[in-house]
Amino acid sequence: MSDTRVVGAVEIGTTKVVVLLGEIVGDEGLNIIGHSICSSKGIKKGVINDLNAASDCVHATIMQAEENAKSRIDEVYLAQTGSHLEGNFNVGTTNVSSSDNIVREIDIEQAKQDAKRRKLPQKRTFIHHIQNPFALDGQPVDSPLSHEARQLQVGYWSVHGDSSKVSDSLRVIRGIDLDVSDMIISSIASGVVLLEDSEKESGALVVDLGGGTTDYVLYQNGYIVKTGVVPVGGDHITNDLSIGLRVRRKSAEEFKVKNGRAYYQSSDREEKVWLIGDLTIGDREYPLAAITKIIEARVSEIFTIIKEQLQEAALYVPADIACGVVLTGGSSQLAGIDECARRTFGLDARVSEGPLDVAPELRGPGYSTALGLLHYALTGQEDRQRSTKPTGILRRLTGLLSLE
Amino acid sequence: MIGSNKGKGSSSATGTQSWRELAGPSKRRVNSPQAKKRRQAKLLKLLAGVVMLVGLVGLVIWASSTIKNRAEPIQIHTPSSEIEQVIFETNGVLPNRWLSTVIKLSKGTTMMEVDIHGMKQRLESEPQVVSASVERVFPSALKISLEEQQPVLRIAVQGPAGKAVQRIVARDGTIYKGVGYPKTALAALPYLQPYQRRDGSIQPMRGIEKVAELLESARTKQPNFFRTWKVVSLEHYSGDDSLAGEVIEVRSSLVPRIIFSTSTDFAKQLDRLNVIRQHVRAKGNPAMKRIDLSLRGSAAVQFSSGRISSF
Repeated sequence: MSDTRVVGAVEIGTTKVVVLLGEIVGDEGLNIIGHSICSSKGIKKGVINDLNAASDCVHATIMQAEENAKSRIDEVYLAQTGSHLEGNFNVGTTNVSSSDNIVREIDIEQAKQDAKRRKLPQKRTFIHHIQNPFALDGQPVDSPLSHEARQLQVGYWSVHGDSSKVSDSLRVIRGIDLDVSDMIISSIASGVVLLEDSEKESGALVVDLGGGTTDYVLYQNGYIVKTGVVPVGGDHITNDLSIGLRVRRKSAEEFKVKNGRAYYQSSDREEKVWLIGDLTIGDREYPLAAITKIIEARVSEIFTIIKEQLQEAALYVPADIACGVVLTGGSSQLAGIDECARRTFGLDARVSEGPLDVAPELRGPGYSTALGLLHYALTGQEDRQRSTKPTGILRRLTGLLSLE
Repeated sequence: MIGSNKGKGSSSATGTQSWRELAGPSKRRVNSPQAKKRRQAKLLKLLAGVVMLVGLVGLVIWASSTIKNRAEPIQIHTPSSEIEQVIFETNGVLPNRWLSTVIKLSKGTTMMEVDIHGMKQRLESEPQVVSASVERVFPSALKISLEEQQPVLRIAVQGPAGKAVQRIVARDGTIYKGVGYPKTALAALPYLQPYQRRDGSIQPMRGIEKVAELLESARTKQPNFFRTWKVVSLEHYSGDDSLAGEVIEVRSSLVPRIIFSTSTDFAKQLDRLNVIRQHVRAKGNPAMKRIDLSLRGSAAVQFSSGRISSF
């Protein structure tokens, strides 16, 4: 009889909380058995600022998803975002230990340990150590095992965050008696389901436009070479419209969804749009040009920040990002956003259609992070040390008695 | 279904300063009405389980006491005739003479006087014995059955007088003297160079089961070549299969170093070794220094000339 476990993918975003429930049968595959989505409370720019309010909405979403799936979550995979996330590139070096200069596992482990040795300041905590290619005497190789060389090097892109903010997310999940099996940053989770292996090899930039933040991940030669979070998202566009057009935030949001476009065209000058559209009191006309100019300014600002960060890291090489920019996240549904990305980055750009092997209602850009978390629940992260948990009847018993 | 492919992915942070250190139960959890509801449901489920369990236990106690009350005492007459015969069965080589020195059965001992549990313990305390069973076969015989250790390797250890003595290594890593084995059988066993821990100790010896698997496969698949295997070195094999890069090294009279991976099927590695040997033979049999079969999907051969070929 094969072992079945139910995993919950939880994304606590600025505007919404998404929970997907997946049933993993053995290690063969994953079926999505339930999902739930709720408006966020107590979260600003991807960071929890009111623990009780955030717990209320996250717990309600989890329970709704469990009810929807008629099943209980065994373990949680949690997405992490927020401008507190930072990354740096560390290189580990070791001299090959054997006298015949043949690289062994022990040398590889030593180089990896050396790369991960860097200490963080207090109150910072590592979330990922993402391995980049090895180099033998300066020459890059995928697998150095049994090659002959004097020196072995390996690079790691290490992502770290503010300990108290990471701890807050964990406390929210622990509040409903669930343990977090793994934590994955949003951009990596989105990237893993939206890109084919060949696209990662050719190079691609995945930009996840959320409500309060924009996360990105850059793949080159199949490796994650940079991740980042820009503390600007769809909510800022709504705010800009609200201030620029002098309307309430709610109306600005409706206006953005209904009439918004992420780039300005000269023909917009003649066109006018109605605020509400039913000619009731308060309804009035606005030039479309005013709206598109406001949106374009903000969206291109987000893309420009990302481009500058890539240029700063000497990673903005269009030839190494051959598959261009893939846009996802709730705000990627804004009309013309791909054109704006194309103009700003000078790269090919497209809005992701989501993975084709899931139900049509889950293919929307708002689910890509949660789907990525489920992907990791099934395949695991490389180098990850799996915790050994009891299985079958024993697991059910320990779960019932809260012994896990 | 999603997640069918696994590429060069990310790697979750572990060890010091990783988020996993924050995941411990030290901090107070945040409560919410939903969490309380969920906890109450869990508690109710637990209570129902306990009630069912208590009911079941009560039922079993009631049933057993009912049966006990109905049972009648049985009179047992114990025969106490003298032991006339000892039936000795073993799956190994231990001789009768050895048995008599261990059980020390004096003449005239009756069937009920003999302490079969003590005898079993004495037999099982011998390193060459895995398990023993001692039965009274009425009216006058004692049946002793032994399961013996299977010899896998030889090892040279320092004897009491400081002189090197030969000992046998069993599948479970037990080192024993080896009583009753024919000399030719012992001579066919390769010597073991054990894994040495940081403190210099070699015991308890782990991973011999894996070595036995390798030797059995080699003995079956390549009997002639196996005869040239002189030493099995566990210098790079601690016996912990969860560690990466663990290898078993064999020193043969034909090839000084043959390296086997412990995480790959030995049969496949031996097949590859056979192909390499045939190929080398066809190329005029140049002397080899090292064959490394532990690589993923390939093997490397280093010739005495210094040239390295990959297969």
